[in-house]
Amino acid sequence: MTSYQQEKTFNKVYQQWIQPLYRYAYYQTKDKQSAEDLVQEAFTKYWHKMSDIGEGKEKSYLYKSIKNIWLNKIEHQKVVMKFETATKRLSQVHSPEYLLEMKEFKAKLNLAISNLPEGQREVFLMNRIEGLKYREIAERLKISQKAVEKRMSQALLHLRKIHRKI
Amino acid sequence: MEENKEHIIAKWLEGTVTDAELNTLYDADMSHDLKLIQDATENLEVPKFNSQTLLNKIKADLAPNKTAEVSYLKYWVIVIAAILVSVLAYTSMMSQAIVIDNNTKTYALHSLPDGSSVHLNANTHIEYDKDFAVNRTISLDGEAFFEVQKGETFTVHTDNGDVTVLGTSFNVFSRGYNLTVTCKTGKVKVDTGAENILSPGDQLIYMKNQLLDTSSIDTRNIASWREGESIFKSSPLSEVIQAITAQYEYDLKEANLDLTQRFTGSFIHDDIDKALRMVFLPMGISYKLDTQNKIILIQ
Repeated sequence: MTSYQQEKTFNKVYQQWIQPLYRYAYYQTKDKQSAEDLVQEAFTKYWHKMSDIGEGKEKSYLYKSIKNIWLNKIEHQKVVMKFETATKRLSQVHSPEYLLEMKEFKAKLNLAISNLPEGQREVFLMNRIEGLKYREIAERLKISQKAVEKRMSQALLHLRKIHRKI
Repeated sequence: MEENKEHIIAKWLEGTVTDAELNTLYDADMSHDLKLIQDATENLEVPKFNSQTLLNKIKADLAPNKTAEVSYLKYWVIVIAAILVSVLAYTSMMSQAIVIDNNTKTYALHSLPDGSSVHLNANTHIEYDKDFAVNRTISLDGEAFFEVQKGETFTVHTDNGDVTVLGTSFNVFSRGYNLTVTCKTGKVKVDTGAENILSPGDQLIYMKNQLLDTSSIDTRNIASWREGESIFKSSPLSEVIQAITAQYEYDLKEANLDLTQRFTGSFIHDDIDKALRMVFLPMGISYKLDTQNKIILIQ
């Protein structure tokens, strides 16, 4: 392809996937600046490999690339994620006891999620933050749907343990 | 089996398993806790970040030696100033060409390496080589007003013909098969197979490489689009329609419209209803506006 076409394709892929890929990078790094660096590196690698990647394969290539680049980096110290919450009202009315319990749990949420093992954490967040169905998560990460369900369940049990202080 | 027992938790969250089914394998505490986790993580978001800034950074790192500057001039008549507009200006990462796309509905100003400037109207694309200072050739698709520094021959190449000058200012409109060149100062040569020379105030109108008309334009009206209004003198309707659709990013559908009719007048850039009235009313053309699908339908 001509370099003009290559740039057009690159821009298109970038605009289409930058947000979910940035989120995925954040799930790995737990830190905003590292996530941006990671995404930058992945897209730079992608640019150099573009002619080898078939149409429609960019998505899984980029997800994998982010994961691999991150794994190759030196072990990082304990980082805690800082989620933001969109202020929305809950669809149902809850009892004061329930609301209090949820408040207590939310206070531990950032730390709890940050401490989840990587595989569980990324699946959990792709589902909770982005609303992705298990099948779509499986497709993006190139693992089986059963594997996604297993990680999801484990994440939920893990969080439950933290909440119950078991 | 332990595996199946676990998977039901994930399935419950997705909604493919009911509360009743969950309760057959786990106690009441489990469904309570899962609901709690579900509610607590309902509105999580990652920290925001600016994807455009990062894209610029990626490109800058891939080609550290080349940068194209784009500066904006916003005129108060351009109502769309309220909306953030972006001009996509990027340097080609591997090849030598510099490409400027004004994919917005407003006007952008770009400086060329030789000190000349190009004013780009809505949806206009230009391209030139890294060695521009030595070989002043620039490709244009759309509409631009050029202010050319004195020097070596300066050539604007379009699909409809080439425009050559030494040091001058002029407007080039090239969209579809329409080419209109207007000279403001200096001398301009237009080559569409045949050559023509323009002096200040001269306007040449071409259609499919054929010269349709020459006229005299008040030089103050040249490139009036920079002030938010496109002015035409005896221009073929095809050209006016090209200009409107590019400005407002609408499509136009017609069946029996005589596109060779001439229009003298103008249309403004910030109100499509008014703009269409300004053009079609004096010409007695009926139309319908489909704002949802962005179509102008000629009746």
